[in-house]
This record gives sequence, structure tokens and C-alpha cells, in this order.
Amino acid sequence: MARMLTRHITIVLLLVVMASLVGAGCRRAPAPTPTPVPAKELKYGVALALSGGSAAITVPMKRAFEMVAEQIGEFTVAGQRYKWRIIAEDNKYTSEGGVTAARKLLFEDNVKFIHETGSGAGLAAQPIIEGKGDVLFEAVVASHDILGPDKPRTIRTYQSSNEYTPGFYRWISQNRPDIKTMIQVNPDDATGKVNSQAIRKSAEFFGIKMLADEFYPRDLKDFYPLLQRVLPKNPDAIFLEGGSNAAAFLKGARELGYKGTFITITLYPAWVQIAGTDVMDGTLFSDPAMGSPYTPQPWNDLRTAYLAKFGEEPGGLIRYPYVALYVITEALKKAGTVDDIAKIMRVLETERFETPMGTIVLGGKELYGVDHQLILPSFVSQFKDGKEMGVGRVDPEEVARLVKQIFGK
Amino acid sequence: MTAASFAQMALNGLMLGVSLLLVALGFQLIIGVMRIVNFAHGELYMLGAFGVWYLAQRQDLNYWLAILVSVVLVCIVGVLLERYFLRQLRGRLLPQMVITFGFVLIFQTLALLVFGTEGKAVSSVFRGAVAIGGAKLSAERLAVSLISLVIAGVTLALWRWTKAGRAIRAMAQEPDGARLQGVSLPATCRLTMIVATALAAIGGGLLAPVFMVEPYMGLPVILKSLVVIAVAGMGSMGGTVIAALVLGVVESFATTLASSEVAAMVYLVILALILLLRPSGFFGHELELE
Repeated sequence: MARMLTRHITIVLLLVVMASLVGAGCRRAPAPTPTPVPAKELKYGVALALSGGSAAITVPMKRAFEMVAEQIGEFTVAGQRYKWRIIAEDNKYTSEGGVTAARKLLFEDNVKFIHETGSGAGLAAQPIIEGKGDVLFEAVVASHDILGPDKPRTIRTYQSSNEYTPGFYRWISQNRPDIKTMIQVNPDDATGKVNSQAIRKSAEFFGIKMLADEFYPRDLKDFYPLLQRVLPKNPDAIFLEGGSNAAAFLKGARELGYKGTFITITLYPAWVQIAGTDVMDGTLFSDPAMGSPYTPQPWNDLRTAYLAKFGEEPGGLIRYPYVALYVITEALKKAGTVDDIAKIMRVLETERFETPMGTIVLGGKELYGVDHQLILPSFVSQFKDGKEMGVGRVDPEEVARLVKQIFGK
Repeated sequence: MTAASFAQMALNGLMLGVSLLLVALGFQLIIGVMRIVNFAHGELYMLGAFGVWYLAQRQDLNYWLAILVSVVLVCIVGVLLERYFLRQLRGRLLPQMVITFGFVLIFQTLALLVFGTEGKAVSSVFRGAVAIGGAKLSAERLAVSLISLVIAGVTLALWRWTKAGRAIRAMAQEPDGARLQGVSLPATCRLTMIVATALAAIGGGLLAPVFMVEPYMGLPVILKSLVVIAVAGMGSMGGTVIAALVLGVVESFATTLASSEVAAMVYLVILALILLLRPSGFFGHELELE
């Protein structure tokens, strides 16, 4: 009996042990870790000059687009994660190039967001872009014709001469009493013609007399005959806009004894390299001086990162890729869609966008008929003792007020 | 218009003309002797300028030595171009234009890839300004102009008074007759190409400190050189010198008195008029490919 009981107990114990072992082996496997769904690529087509005289100023923009896209990283729109993929095409800063680049980006790469730099390129490509109906066109284009009620899907990031000249020439009239007369020298293309009208209007509004408006073929190499037209009038300041070849004008002016002030929009590193720091000393320009306390810190940080990566100064135009990508990213989030361009446009027209550099809004209805112009601060900078430095800044609200005052209908 | 401003315009114009002179002389040699319209000739000028930039600015070589080395290197390119491509194109206008334009794109693209898109600066060798009769000129422009004129003069002297020059002239005037006299066409073409390339490369090197060096600098120069040769007429080296200087002065006056835009049109108008009214130019003869 005892032996049978022991045997039963032993069997029960063995069964219990076996059950425990089986139970342990059948322990529920942990739930599989869900594989993260990779962020979808959102293509941003970027058409700008990657060759030719203008490439010196636009290649940094292309690189800035890529760096800012990386900086923004992944973002969520309506529950889906996205990240920007920049696709660059060379528009050669010409009408033909702009159209060719746009066609490639729209119909081969199927982008829904496209950028063009250059008035000729942008204006030529615009009918194709707008005609497609479901693409947002972001333009760095000087010509005001790029905006209008008949261009419902176009926004302009570029601070045109309407936006930057009022604050800039007000600063000059208040701080540089030695500048009473000016001659402006612009390329004879759409950008140059548009700039010349705004510069004349703003300068004269603040009491600076414009002695002449001169134009030249953008690829001109020998500026001596043009200097012969300009220098005898002895202006206190000469405004010059152009590509890196225009440095020959500045160099030639100093060689021929001109002592006045040069004024420009963007101080190209190539100009300093070609003309020399002595020639460029004292030049006033309306782009932000990168690295200056007047310049928004995120732009300074972008410049620092660009310098570290490429070993050369990027120039002030890199701010446009920055604001474009940040504002459009925020607009997509607010609109809750990446496809409904009409909805995204309504958001852009009506909302305020918080970016690392502050609040940005779109305006310009009184001038262009639509609120599709990004309003940014305007700057006054100077090249002095071999360095760019900020000397003045006008905040967006004041910019908008001055624009209305000088250009408003 | 004052006398001083007239003198300034005239001197600006002469300097403009001289800046074209060496390239135009080389172009004239190739068209006149080899009977080839070589649009890629302007790219040899561009390569000469880049060669000087690279050697003088990047390798710290003495500027004048940089020009010499650059000329030698570009001449090698020129000789290879002549030997393997241009020689086959003699007498065939359409293939000449297509293939030499192709080389324009090839050289421009190579320059873009190797040197990048940004314009390059070569440090000035001569500094300051010089006053001549009320006109002011940069010392650099004046020096470059004088050196170019000396080189052009030496080229004309070689063309006129040396055996090699006579052989080249004979080949330019009457190829069959020259061959019968024992002048070798391949050797003459090779020598012509070397001289023409050297002139273009020297022109590029001398002008590198004056203008910006960039991959697209060659084509505008060759298009203007075409107008110079049309005005001068084929085969006239002296006429080329005169035409270059006159056209430079015309451009200077047109720019100063009218505008740069008008001056840009002037070349095209002159070319059209010459081709219509005086296709042989003023000093030479009409282009005959063979």
C-alpha cells in the first residue's frame, strides 16, 4: 500500500514537473516588435543654374535645400511620416533652361513641389507648372509678374526689390548723408529691369537722386566702355547687380579712380575674390551678413554648417531654401495633406508659420493681388576690412508698412 | 564730347580690339591655311587661361612661366585635335561646324567638371592706372595690350619673312601649287595649328588677370573673331589686326554713346552687311574650303 502510494506520489510529482517544464517551454513568445514603416519621400524639385556665370550664387542654394531637408528630417502629415527628397535640375538661368528643367521635374520625376530661381527661367516655366494643376510653385524670382490672382499655386520666397529696397534706402538716407546721387547698373534681362524700377522709386522716395539707369548683357566681360558712360557723371554711389563677371566692373571702376560707394544686393564671394578686398571695401548690400547678430541665428547656423561641409562661403541666398522648406513643411502639417495643393495654398494665405527663425506670414495682396509673397526682415550689410557685417535690419511688419507706402496703389 | 572722353573711348576700343587680336589671328590662320572653320579655337583660349590660373594661383608658379607652360600644354591639345579630327574635315563645311561645335561642348564640360562653375581670378601682375592724353587706363590693360601687339607683330614678321611663313602663305594661297613646290600639307597644317593654338593660349593667359576665367569664356571670343575675319577677309593677317582694332573702337563708341545692348547688336549687323555686300572682306579674299 505504502509502495503504491509512493509510486502514485512519484508519478504525480513527475507529471507536475513535466507540466511545469512544458509550460515553461510553451511560454508565450513576446509580441514581435513592429518594424517601423519608413518615412515616405516627398519630392521637391529644384531648378536653378548649376552651370554658367550664375552658378556661383545658385549652387549654394541647391546645397542649402539638401542641408535644410536633412535638418527638417522626418515630419508627420495626417498620420503619415514624410521626408523631403531634393531633386535638382540645371535651368541655366535662362527661359529655355527653366522650361526644360520644369518639364523634367514635373513629367519624369513627378514632383508636386517645384522651385525655380531666375526671372527668365521662372516666368517661362510658370505656365507649364500652373497648367499642371496640382503642383505648388515656389519661386526665387525678381520679376513681380510671377505673382498674381491668375497664378493660384505660386508663392514667392525671394524678397524682391519691392520688399527690400524701402528699408534699405531709408537706412542709407538716414545713415549715409554722403550718398546723395546714384547710378544703377543692372543686367538687361527681366530681373534687371524689375530691380531698376523699384530701386529708383525707393531711392528717390528717400531723397537720393538717380542720375542714370544703365543696362548690360549679363555675360559681358569687358566693362571699360560701360564705365566710360558711368564714371564721368561722378555719382556718390553706384548700384551694380550681376553674376561673377560683374566683378570686372568694380575692379575697373577703382582702377579708373572711382572713390564712391558700391551698392549691391548680394555680395558674392566670387566678387571679393576677383576684384579684391580693397576694391570691395565699404560696399553696402541688402542681403543679410551671414554670421552677423542682425541675421537670424538659424541662418547663421546654416552658414556655419555649410562652411564646415563645403569649405567656402555660401552667400546670403541660402536663406531662401531655409524659409521655403520650413514654411511649406508647416503648411503641409496644418493642411493635413501633401496632395491637395488648393488646401495647402489656402493655409499658406491665411496662417502664420512658426519656424526656428520666428514667425513668417505671406502677404503682398495690395501689390500683387494675392497674399503669396513671403514677408521676411530686410537687412543692411556692409563689407568692411575684409568681412561682412550687419549694420541695420527692418522687421517684417515695418517692411510691409514701407512697401505699402512706397509701392501701394 | 570732350577731347579727353574721345581719347578715352578710342583707347578703350583699341584695348578691346587687342583683347581679341591674338585669338582672331590664330583663327585666321586655321581658316586661311587649313580651310577649316574651327569653332573650338575659342576653347583653346579658355584652356590657356585656366592653365595659367591653375599654375600661377594653385601651384604658385611665376606668372610668365605659367603662361609658357600653359601654352606648351595647350599646343599639345591643339596638335592632337588637328591630327585626329581637323585633318579629316578639310573641305567639308557642315562636318566642320558640327564636330568643332561638339568640341566646344566637350571642352566646356570638361572645364566645368575639373575646375567647377565658379569664375576664377588670377592675381594682377601690373597695378595702378596710367594717364594718356586725358584718358585713364589701368596699367594692367595697357601692359597686356602692348605685349599682345608685340606678339602679333612677331607673328606677322614670321608669316612674312621666314621660310616657314612663306610655306604657310603658299599653302593658304594655292595649296596645289605649294604641294608641287615640295611644301608638305600635313606638316604645314601641324605648324599652323601650333602657331594658332599658341596665339590663343597666350591670349587666354594674358587676359586671365584682366577678366574672370570661366568655362564659357571661349565661345563669345570666337564669335567676335569670326566677325573680325569676315571684315578682314580670308588670308589677310595684317587685315585681321586692322579689323580687330577697328571693331574694338566701334564697340567702345557704341557702348559709351548708345548702350551695351546696342553694342552687342553692332557685331551682328556688321557681319550681316559684310557677308551680303563684301564677302571677301576689305583686305583678303572670300572663304573657299577647297
